[in-house]
Amino acid sequence: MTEILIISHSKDIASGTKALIEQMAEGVTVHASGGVHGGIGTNIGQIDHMLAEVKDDTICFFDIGSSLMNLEMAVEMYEGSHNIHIANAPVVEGSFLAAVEISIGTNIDDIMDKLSEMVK
Amino acid sequence: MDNNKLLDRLQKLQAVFAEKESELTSLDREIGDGDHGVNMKRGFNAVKENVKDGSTQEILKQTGMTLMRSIGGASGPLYGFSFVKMSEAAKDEIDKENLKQLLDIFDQTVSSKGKVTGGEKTMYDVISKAVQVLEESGGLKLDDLQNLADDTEDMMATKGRAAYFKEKSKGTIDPGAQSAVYILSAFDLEEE
Repeated sequence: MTEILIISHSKDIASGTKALIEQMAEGVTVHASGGVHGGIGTNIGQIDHMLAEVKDDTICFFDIGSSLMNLEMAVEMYEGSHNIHIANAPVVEGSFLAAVEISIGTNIDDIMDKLSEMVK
Repeated sequence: MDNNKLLDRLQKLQAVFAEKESELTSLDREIGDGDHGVNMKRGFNAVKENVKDGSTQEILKQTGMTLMRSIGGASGPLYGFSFVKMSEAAKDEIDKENLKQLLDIFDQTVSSKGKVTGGEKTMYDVISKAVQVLEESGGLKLDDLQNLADDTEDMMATKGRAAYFKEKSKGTIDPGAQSAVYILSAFDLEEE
């Protein structure tokens, strides 16, 4: 089943969004990480670590500034066997929509189409 | 330039960035958050510690991975990822033709991942013109590269944190352009 990955500058945003969507769409796997060294930021290492854990095709969400750059680099260097998609949709609304669609069995391409209509 | 020479040059950047830390910090205090000096120093300290030997390709890749993981902000990933990408095209012995290819990759990586096109007062204003310097002078001399960084002084920043300073960003050399001068000079092909 398609999985979700969230990278945020803030640990609280990452864990809070994960808690929200796990409650609303039970059974969907959500990988979330935010902040570096106890402060605000993102780095490639934490994204690599999450990508190493994914067990199916995955849709990734990012928040501000350099999180997209780090996410793109991590995805480009990913050597696993799953397809990793980056969604340019708002983190909370986008990951929530994706989780609900995943839970009702929508295929990943249709979910990406729906996400592309969401303005960030 | 063979693997030993390359390793020696990259390790010497540790001393360069230790010496230039305060210069980069003061530039970044003017138009950024003031951490570029300490970030670059930390990055090349880690390179000196972690990158010990290997083929030309391995040295470039290890350097890139180390920089990506040890420098915060946007500059570490951009430099680091560029080195990783350059490692894929590097020959055992980097000659002028190969160096041109590597500089093209450096240019494309920073442009695509940093979403810059030039004239935005960033490291890209130095990196994108390094090929031209190589073609005109046969090498990557510090003075020639410095001229490119100096050109960013009058530019107004439109990318990164410096963009918040708008007009006030004029009058200061971009700290990323300045650190790019030191990094590129390590690839100079002339004998020391």
